[in-house]
Amino acid sequence: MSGFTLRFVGRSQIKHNTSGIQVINKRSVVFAKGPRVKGALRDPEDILTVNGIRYGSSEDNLKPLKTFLQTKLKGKYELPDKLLLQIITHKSFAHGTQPYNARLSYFGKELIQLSAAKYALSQPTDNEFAINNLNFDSLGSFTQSFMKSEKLLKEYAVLNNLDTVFFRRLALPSGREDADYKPRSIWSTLTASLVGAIATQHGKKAAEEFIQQEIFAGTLDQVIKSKSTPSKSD
Amino acid sequence: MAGINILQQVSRARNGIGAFVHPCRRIVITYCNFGGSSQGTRDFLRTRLKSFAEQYPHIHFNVLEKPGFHPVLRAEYTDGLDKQICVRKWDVNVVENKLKLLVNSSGRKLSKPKQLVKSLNKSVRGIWSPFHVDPSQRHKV
Amino acid sequence: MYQWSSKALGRKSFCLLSRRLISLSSVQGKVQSPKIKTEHRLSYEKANNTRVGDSAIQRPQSATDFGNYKRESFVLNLTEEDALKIPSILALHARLNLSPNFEKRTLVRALTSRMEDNQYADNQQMAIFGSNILSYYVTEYLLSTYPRLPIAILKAATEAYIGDFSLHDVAKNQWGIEADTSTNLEKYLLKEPKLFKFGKLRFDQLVTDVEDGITRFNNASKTSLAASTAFANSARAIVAGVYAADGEASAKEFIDLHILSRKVDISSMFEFEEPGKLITRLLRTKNMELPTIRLISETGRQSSSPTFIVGCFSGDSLLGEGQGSSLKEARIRSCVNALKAFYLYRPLDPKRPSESTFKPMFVDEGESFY
Repeated sequence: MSGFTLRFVGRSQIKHNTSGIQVINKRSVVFAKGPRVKGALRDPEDILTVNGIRYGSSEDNLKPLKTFLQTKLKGKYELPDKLLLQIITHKSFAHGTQPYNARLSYFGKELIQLSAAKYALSQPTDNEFAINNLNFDSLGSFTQSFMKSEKLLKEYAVLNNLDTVFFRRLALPSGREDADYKPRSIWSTLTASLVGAIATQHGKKAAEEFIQQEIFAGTLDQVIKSKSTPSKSD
Repeated sequence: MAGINILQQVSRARNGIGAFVHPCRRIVITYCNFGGSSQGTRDFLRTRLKSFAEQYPHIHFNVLEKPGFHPVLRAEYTDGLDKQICVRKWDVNVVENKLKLLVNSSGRKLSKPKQLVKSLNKSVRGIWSPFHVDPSQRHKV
Repeated sequence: MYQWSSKALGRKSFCLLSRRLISLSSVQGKVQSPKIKTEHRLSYEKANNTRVGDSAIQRPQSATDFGNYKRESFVLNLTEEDALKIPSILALHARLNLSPNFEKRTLVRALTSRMEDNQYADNQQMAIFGSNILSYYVTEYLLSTYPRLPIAILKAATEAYIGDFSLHDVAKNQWGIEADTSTNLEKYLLKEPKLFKFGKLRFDQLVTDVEDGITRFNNASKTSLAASTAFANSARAIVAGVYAADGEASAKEFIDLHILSRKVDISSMFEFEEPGKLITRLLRTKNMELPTIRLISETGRQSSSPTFIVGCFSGDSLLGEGQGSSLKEARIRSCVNALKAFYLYRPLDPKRPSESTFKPMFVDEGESFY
């Protein structure tokens, strides 16, 4: 957070100091080293770093997600490095200049939504209004809608430490920057894009298995039980 | 994305590409139980309607008695159109043929096509893509 | 002059009148207007996220015991024997070529919307499921066929396939589902059997055509629906019914046959503001040479109807061609074509993740902002 950029109209190259900030005027763009100023563009080198971690497909950056995939799923659904980096990059990172996970998470959310509905139907029932022993009556209820909610996806990402290395913008909505503040619209894309990536590389069946075993079987009950004490991050 | 606006569309039907849904939905046959002009229609209803209707399970046949009127066959189609044929004085064979005509129609008025090919697609060539051309064949300036 | 003054007078009197009305209403107390939630812009997203009020559902002890949920309003169940007596249901079943596993009374349920004072099972939750399965398969198809579509266009294209207006067209004009608009008196006069009303789409109508030229806007209740939503929900419920009867593979086939076979021209959904600027930005983010527009051929420059063909080039490679009656027009067209060639990229022989012959999909990097 050492630099920022201001846009000025001017062609000449000027260097000067204003209130302790060194300003270099190159063409029409100004790079200024010093404390961050709200609304100003930052140094291009600076925006590629989050919490001291430099963006790139280095081994250190991909290791947390790689080990997660190896331990949790017996290495069944390994993903290429390029995709792993894309999963842990949110659209808000570096003004969207790097490959980001929006499309993967959109696809993942669609699949999670369908799986949540199929899960609800697959439960054994003796309801007389069930069609072919599939009870539709729980769809659209609070708990069934919760299964596809961003909140659950975020909880899964946080519980499994998928966000150890997560490239996103630091200045979050409402100006909060503390470590506990994890907006679900951003954090949920981690889980959703992981599901989406598995679906694109290993097929729908594999991704559904992942959702079933990991999210619905593991995390759902845990989160519903702790719902009385929601984390303060929301 | 900034700079790209969306022009919203609604999908258009292409019946027969994918599933073919038979356009004829319902046939209403009106007849008079007394008048001579309904003789052929009455014969049809008595002798042939059952076997005829069994051939077309997707059509809802409706028989209405309308005393004092000529017999009329009316077909309703899925897109809200309908066609009517008056079968006064026609014998049973003609009634059956007229019914077949209604069943096999799309409901639209008969018209002579001006072009040999009618298509919803703008051009058969589609959008040109530079990536599908062999590099040795690409345009050089 | 006279006209002007009379107009001004009229406006003034109108203002006075409206002010008077406002003062009157404030004395009488505020009129409660129904709150309109605008969370979802697209109707398919709205259908996906429909919530059935928790007061309408009997919940078991454990919230995740989905098998034992029960709707409060479901009291009466139409028997299969009764459903077999309804000719329009039998005809619809045959018309859609549904399998014998698909019960006729399920079809009746798919045509019954959630209504006030209705004790029969309704299609609301079937429609939610149908919408979920439709939106997944349509998204999957679009993403594998056009992996580079911007997300906004992707959503708009999904809406074009499975939005309320499209499914309204499918249900009404393709499948021939009829809405039950006749009154009880009309049914009595027609001597129509009571069961026959189940063969039509029934819903609490938001708008009714009372007679020719007169439209009545009914008081919106919780259950009242626009005609397009009601028809679309019946189509969604039928897809859910296919899933329940024959499983997911059949539902997918049904969607392919009836929904994805329809025509959506995605290339004409784009409207580019300043296409020259956009293609420059795009090439810069892809680390390609910036675009140059070169004239390829021309005819009749001095005539009244000249034609120019120009190409949008990045280095030596031609990205798009444009033709026009002026150089500017041709240049803009060439940039638009170059952008469309990028965004509408189609892999050869795309495979969807749900197919058995699936192979890893092309994943795009996402649209860079600049």
